[in-house]
Amino acid sequence: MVKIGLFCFAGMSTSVLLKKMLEYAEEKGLDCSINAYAETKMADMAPQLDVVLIGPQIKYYQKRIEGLCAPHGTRTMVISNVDFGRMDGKKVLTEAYGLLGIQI
Amino acid sequence: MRTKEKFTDFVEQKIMPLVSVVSSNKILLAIRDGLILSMPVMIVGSIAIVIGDFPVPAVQAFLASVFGENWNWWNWDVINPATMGLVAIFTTCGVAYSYAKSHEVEPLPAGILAIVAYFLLLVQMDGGGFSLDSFGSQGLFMAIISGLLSSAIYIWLIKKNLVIKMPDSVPISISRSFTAMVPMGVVVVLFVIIRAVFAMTPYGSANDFILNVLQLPLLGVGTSFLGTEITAGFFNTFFWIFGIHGTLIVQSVMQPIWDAAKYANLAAYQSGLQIPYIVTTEYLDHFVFLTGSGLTLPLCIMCAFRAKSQQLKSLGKLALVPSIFNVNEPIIYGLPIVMNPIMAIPFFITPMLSIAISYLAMAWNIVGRPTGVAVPFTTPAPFGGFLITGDIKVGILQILILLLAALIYWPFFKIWDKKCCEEENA
Repeated sequence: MVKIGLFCFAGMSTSVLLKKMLEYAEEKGLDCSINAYAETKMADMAPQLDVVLIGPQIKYYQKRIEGLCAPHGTRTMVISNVDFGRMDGKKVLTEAYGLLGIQI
Repeated sequence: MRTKEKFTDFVEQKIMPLVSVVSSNKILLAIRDGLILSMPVMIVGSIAIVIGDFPVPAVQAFLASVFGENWNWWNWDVINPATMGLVAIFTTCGVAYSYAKSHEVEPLPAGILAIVAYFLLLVQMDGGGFSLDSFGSQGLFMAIISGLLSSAIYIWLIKKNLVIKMPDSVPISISRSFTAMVPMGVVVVLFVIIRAVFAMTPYGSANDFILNVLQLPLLGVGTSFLGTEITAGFFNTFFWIFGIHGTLIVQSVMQPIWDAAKYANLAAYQSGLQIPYIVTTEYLDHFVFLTGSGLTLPLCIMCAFRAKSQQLKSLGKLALVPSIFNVNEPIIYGLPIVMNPIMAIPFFITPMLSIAISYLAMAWNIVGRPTGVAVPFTTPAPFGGFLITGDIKVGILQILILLLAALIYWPFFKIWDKKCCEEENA
């Protein structure tokens, strides 16, 4: 199972995107769990996740987040402004799987 | 387009690294996370206050007639001192815990050590015992400072390996309990010395020194009209225009001040005194970040129901519910407001105007001030305004300000809608 975490300030704004991603995952029948978290949970969640997606509004944390994720082999990616604005769950999920080398 | 690219480069290369350094600072992060740790307790304590001291006298009278005069005995004397009244203790523990955690050392002993350090600096009352005041707002800055200092010493000694080592045959859980002993001893000695030094100053105690030299002056500047327009008004918006979470950045510096103002207000409200501060954490959530930074709910409604552009129409519908609950990233990134010189104008004007109107209305006592009750930032208007002040007029003021925001956004919305239509038809 692929475990994906979405991170923003309070886990509120990414939860809109989360809904779209879950819809697409179900449509595709993917075996994955996706959750939205507040950025403060980063250190706790990093070891448990396969992919960490960072909301563009906190992309200045990218280096720090990469530092927390790298030792656990957790992949990280900043969601682009456009994808985040359109809440494009399909594209973001495809890219997240792409980080793991899986094509969906 | 080329100027826009240059601008983006400038942001990516100059502003972003600066923001990254400030916002990833371990001390600032520890303060922020430490303050956040006590939030659930504060909200539960606030619910007790809102029910026990319900802002509508008729409801209070009714409850008193049903349950007796003393029906809310559990409120100010029982739940409040155990929750909001202990904010300095939670903060010192939380800050030390978060700071130790960010340095990857066992965090819980650091939290306990911080409470020890905090009490070492408190001066007992004349008849013995501690004043309850020293656990609340008045001790907040000392809580942060002593939490950081004790935690820093603890981390340093652990990293230097200055701890008591047990033979390998001793179980880990037992040997671990000895690890914190040396740092504990060092912190106790050091804080006793600090206490003795401050006792010799005219302030008499570390708490009074920090309160009068640091906390009160910073609160005075940070919660002033100009200070609020600059931090929450200008800088918050400025960062968002570049697609950076301005609120998070401004908060990482200002949160201790806004929280201290909130708890000071609560203490005054409890004693029935004039509420001292206007600008608190809750004021900002419900007047400056109302429906999200830039007060964009009116803009969102226009997109959903008045836009000719299909793209804006679907964005408006998608963003409507989050906007009502004060989350507006879909609008900021979807419209987009980020790097958009047209929408930047109303996005700048609206929050600064909202501060001006609400600040003056509170300063002139036309409407009530925030009582210090903690309300989640997602509480929609007009309930948010009502709950944070206990004054229904404040809820109405929120609606009036949103209507004014609609007037400001309208012409810019028309321009942007026309532009999006042209692009869609091209």
